[in-house]
Amino acid sequence: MPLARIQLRDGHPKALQSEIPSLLLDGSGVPVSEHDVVLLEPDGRAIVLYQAEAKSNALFLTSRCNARCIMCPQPSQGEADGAPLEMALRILDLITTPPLALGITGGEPTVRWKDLCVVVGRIREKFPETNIEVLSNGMRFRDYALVRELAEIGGDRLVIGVPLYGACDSVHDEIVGVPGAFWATLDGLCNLERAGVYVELRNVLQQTTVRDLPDWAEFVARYIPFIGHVALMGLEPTGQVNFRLEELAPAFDARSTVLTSAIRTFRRAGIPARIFNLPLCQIPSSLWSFAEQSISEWKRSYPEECVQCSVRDKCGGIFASWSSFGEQVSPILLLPENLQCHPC
Amino acid sequence: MKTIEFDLFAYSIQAIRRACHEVSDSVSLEINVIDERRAVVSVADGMIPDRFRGAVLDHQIRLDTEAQFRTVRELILAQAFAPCDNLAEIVERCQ
Amino acid sequence: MPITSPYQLLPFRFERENGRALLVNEAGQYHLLAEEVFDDYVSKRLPRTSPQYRELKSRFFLVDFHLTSAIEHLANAYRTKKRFLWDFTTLHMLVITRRCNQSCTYCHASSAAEDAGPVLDMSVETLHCCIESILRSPSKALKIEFQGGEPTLRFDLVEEAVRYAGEANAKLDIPKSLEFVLCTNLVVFTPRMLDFVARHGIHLSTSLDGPEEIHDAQRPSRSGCSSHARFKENLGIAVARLGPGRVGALLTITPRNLHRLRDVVDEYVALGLHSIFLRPLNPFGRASEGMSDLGYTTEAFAEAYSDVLDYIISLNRQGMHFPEVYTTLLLSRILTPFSTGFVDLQSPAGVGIGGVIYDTTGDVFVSDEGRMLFYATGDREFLMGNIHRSSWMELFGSQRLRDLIAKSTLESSPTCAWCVFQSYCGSDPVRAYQLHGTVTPFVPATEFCKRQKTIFRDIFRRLEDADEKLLDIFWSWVTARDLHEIAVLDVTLA
Repeated sequence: MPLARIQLRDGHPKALQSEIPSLLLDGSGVPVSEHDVVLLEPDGRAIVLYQAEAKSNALFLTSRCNARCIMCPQPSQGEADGAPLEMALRILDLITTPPLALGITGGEPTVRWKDLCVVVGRIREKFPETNIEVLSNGMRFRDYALVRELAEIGGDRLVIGVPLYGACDSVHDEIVGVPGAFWATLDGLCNLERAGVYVELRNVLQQTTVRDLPDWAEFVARYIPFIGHVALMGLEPTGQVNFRLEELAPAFDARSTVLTSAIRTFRRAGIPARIFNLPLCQIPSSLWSFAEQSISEWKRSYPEECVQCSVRDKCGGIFASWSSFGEQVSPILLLPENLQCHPC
Repeated sequence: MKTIEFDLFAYSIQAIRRACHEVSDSVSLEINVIDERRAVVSVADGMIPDRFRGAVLDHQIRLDTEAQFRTVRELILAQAFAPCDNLAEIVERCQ
Repeated sequence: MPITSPYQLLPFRFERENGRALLVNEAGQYHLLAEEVFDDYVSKRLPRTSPQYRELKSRFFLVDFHLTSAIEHLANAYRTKKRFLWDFTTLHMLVITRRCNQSCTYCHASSAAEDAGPVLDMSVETLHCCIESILRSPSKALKIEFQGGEPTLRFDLVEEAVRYAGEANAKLDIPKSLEFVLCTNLVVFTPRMLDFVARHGIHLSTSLDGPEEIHDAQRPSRSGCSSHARFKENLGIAVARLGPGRVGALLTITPRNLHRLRDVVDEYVALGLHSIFLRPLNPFGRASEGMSDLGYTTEAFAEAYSDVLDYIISLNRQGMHFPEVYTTLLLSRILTPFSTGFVDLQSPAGVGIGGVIYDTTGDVFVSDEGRMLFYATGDREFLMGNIHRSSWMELFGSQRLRDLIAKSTLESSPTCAWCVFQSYCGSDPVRAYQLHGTVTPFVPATEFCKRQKTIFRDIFRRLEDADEKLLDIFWSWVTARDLHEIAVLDVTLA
């Protein structure tokens, strides 16, 4: 498998495993740095699979999924999976420094259960201090035996990121595209709690979820209060989302009101909450301390107007892909008092 | 002394009894069933008829709804204190 | 697609007033509905597409297809609320001595004179026996409370208890986490006592009934002199050394201070206390002899409670973190899904299974009130046994205790079974027996019930009208955090 780790030679990144003309790594596309891991395609492209400097990396386990979320960033086309397990294990071989965290994603990782266990086990073995963040819709965790198995392998480094899109099945199931998904996910969450696994509960801010957000927050605080923290994600215009943008993108004011309400609920209940993927100008200033600069460098952009913004350096920017939709930013011209821009 | 009439096709005698029982420490009441359709409650002064009617209606709602979810409530409590793996089966049987 | 749906009602309790219905589900979550919506909801006419339908479903008031799942999750929620039951008896009160150096007008403990002699004190042998029994309690965390009379009159016994408990606990396969509380009037509090309390992490629980003239009138020293001055001095020393977090005070409300509760709160603040526990008069011991002199109506209490709560809230709005403990307990039940065991207000009642008291003689009672009843009338109704003669199982597993618990469960008591406040309320069978001659009285007629309902309605009214700041204040009480850790503040743009 043509994976290679980048090493610096004479100040220029070079692929370790083979002779590659520096032309390919000339800076076009994603910049590479030392200790990154790339996949070398036959046509000469190098696809970056692991960035040593990035805050987070993910290992892709499968493109298959047991759901059909309407805003899926990586919709399954039903294609054969290739050999993602081998790829993942090979990447792990090539990583030199233990990362702070490593994600496992897909599709839905739990549909390839044995592979998931192998990868989690390997990470635990090779990098015992690394957090293992599995992104899952949680439905297969309805089977407690599976939860126990994974919990034992992953130990206290295991984190499961599970999306819950609404406070009832009519909201959640419609988005996930599977009847019964809400209750299956809820069962999964309760089983994770039973097994002592840390859960990150996610939601994506689109029209339907925004309408339900205050009720959703109340629901979480009351019926699944054991979760580790909540992640509220701004909509990413990629994959499925692009075909239905008008339908999905929430109105700014509506989103701001419900965000405040939801954050209030979590704050009061003592559940840590974070807002991801939204620029500061799109969030009420009272919530800036909850916002994370989360968009990966290679995906984000700061439109022209941002140069005037007084909080640009604290802002995570917007998804570069929004530019084709004319997403508006409004630079903050005046610096607020008592500005708190980062999680304390 | 007031009398309040109740249509027994709308309000059960049980609901009337419960409403009477609730205030029995402070007010004296007497229930008389006239026929299969009518019951009359004689109440001492001081009791507001509309209020009492409201209480009877509330108790009727309780009786009706409790009849519907009594089993569910028992299952919730049973599952809370002695959880079982075949709950779905039991719920099916109780339906 | 039909407009109406074949939904199923999930269990709930309700109350209707002023065109609105207050509903509470089996998980203890509440919801307000306009009357017309309520009527549609109960008659199953609520359209599936309506926002109210979605809200009711999200709050487990109705379910359409997944009944089993709904039952499963409601069971989880219910079990969470009743978690305190799994811990069994966690509060163990030791009557160190029946003697006291005060003569409080309402004295709950019917205490004896200071010089009545050591026969009214617990023997070391009895003390050891009690502690051994206490450590057999299944819970991992136990609270041992020193009571009396006035325990500081035999502080040597307090010291011995702490020492012996530590020693015996260390010998267990799985040592327990032990918390000690000293209930004291703080009239006599020597540096040695303070030192011991500080070194062993002991909490102090004391009584402060108000400013000097009220406090002294209600809680005179047996010697006749003022207790307030010495109390104030010792309290100051205690708070300074232990920190306000380890010193709690409660107040006994009598007609004398009922209409001056704001002044009482001011006194608490002035003396460095950080919370107040409003406790209505308990009709036991000396109190029941002079009931007519010491009583006040439920209405009077409700009004005074509401007024002082307004005042306390205003202090919190000004930035002071000052909870009212009883209100905080009720708010925790209303706002959170978590378990709140409180022996005097829970279902089933905490008698014996939540808290228990060991008398100087080794007699074990289900509660302090049960002990008072025995002193007052010789009635052994609430005597569980004696530490020297009864095994642990005979004490805690007796059929008598089981029967008492079965009768003090709101879920199965008439009228309480359908009361909208059931999830938040509790039973007090000993009080019921004392006042009405039975552990199963006609509850709606009791002052206890009337008072509870008034308090609940007051709290729900506040919750409904609350602005964000008041909600933050309530949550600061419930989660024991400062306001600034909770509030989501508006950042002003310069």
